[in-house]
Amino acid sequence: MLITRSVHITHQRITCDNQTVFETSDVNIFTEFIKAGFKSLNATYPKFYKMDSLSKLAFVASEFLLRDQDIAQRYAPESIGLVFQNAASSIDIDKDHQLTIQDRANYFPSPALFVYTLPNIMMGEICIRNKFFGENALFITEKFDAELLYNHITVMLAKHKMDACIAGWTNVEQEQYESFLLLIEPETMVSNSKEFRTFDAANILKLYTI
Amino acid sequence: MHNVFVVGQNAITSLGFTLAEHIDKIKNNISGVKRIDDKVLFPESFYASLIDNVLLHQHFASIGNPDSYTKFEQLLILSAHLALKDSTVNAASHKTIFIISTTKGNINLLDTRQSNSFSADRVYLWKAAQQIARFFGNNNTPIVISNACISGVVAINFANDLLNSGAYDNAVVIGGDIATEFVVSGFQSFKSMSFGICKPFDAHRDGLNLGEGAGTILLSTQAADCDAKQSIKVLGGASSNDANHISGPSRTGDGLYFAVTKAMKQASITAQDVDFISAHGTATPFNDDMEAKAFHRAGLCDVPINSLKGYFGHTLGGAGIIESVISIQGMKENLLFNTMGYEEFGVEEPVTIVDHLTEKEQNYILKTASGFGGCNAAVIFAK
Repeated sequence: MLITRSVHITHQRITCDNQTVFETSDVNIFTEFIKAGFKSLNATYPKFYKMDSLSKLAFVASEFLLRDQDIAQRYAPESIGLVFQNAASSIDIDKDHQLTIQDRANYFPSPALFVYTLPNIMMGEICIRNKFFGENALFITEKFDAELLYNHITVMLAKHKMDACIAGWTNVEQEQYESFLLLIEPETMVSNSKEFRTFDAANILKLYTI
Repeated sequence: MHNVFVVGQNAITSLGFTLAEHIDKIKNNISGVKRIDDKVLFPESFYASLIDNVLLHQHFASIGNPDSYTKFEQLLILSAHLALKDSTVNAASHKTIFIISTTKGNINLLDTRQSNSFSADRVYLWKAAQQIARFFGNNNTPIVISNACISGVVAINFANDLLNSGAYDNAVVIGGDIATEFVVSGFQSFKSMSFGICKPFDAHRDGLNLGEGAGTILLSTQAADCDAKQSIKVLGGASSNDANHISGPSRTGDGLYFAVTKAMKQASITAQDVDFISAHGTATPFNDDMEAKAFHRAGLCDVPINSLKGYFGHTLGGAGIIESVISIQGMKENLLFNTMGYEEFGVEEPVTIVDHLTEKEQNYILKTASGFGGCNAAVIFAK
């Protein structure tokens, strides 16, 4: 298996295979930054604006990861899996929802907000966008755990639960945000396979820490 | 590849603190869902299945200090303790891994109106999981799965994959969630709660009941200690996404169909082999129709199906585990449990709903779950 693309978003910068693809020093708050990052893709997808911060971050990372990849054409939609990790679950939107119920004089819980209090919704958004029907797993870990990610995906691939995988880490808590996503594909499906790194825990960590 | 056996179980809901209490009440058609008039949880009355806090406190006090653990942690620790005490699994061993399934964990700690003595980081699920694993003297990093309402089934599948690979000998798989104003208000805002005991697959179903609870399933590759006749194996499972909508089930059942057919493939069985299905069956109009379509398409129309939600509500992160535990016990006793709340057939495909306690030999059973975010999961257990 190979890592055919990696995307890293943090500190107002988006890199794709270690090349900066979007960067801004104009906006210094996350919500504005991620909106600008999305706009740089020139994509028309109004649903993006309804998402919470966590889903927006994961979504923009996945758009850069899958750009020009036609992966939905190359693999059966039910064989493309998502394996994600995150530390803070959906903490920001959890706090927002808590505010809508805590003051009884101002009690107004909203379904549009409540639905995002489940962190796996970010994977749902990516599946809806790309029509992926495969495996969904979200692990809550204190920090990014390359070993756990690698071991789990390896077993799932060996059992033929999936053929290709979008995997990584996406975490937001106020102004601390980071998404690191990988596209993992079999050698046989990649024409220029020598150009890519082998999928293993050491290479995942290398790409993460560059 | 190592075979994975079920070597211990527990469930805690409004029906009781032991699996035996659950089975006894389910056999006698007793539901723990009640009208709740608790202004702290919700301004108006609603129907839900709640655990007696005084009893929980008493039970927990016999094994630990209730002041050191949140209600959520107490519930999961107690469930795991009760499953472990009758087993030979060494919880503290480095060959044992704790896997926790939950949607919201200690989310009640966000409520700033209530003071508490717990450190702020307990609201993080990885931190709560550490408290639980450390209680048992286990030093491995516990693994948390949080995939909405399919979390429990995903956790069992993950544990099975992990044990198959030989990484650990045992897994203590615990799932649960507590009833909080946070969750009750959210489901009410969706208008998805029933005005009585929920009615899965029924023509007059009008929504779900929330439930709080925890379940534990002990899995082990070291089956020498179990009675061979009674040992149940995890054969395999899968998950999927509907790729349709974040807060509504697919109208076609495609996602669940993929999860079910992939699970059968993982287990190397066909639809003809499946003796029983423990469905998700939340009793919302769309969910139950979606499930009926998926089972129909998978060739499972004639297989008896039940939903246990009418007994103890939808226990969210606990559901996949609590309902597996009860269905495995049914398998051992060759019993199919009644679908509490179901009276008149009311879904769009002709599936077979269990409508009374029935004797049936079962060699293969299927457990499914579906949840927000369009996710679905399925797992097969075998005798």
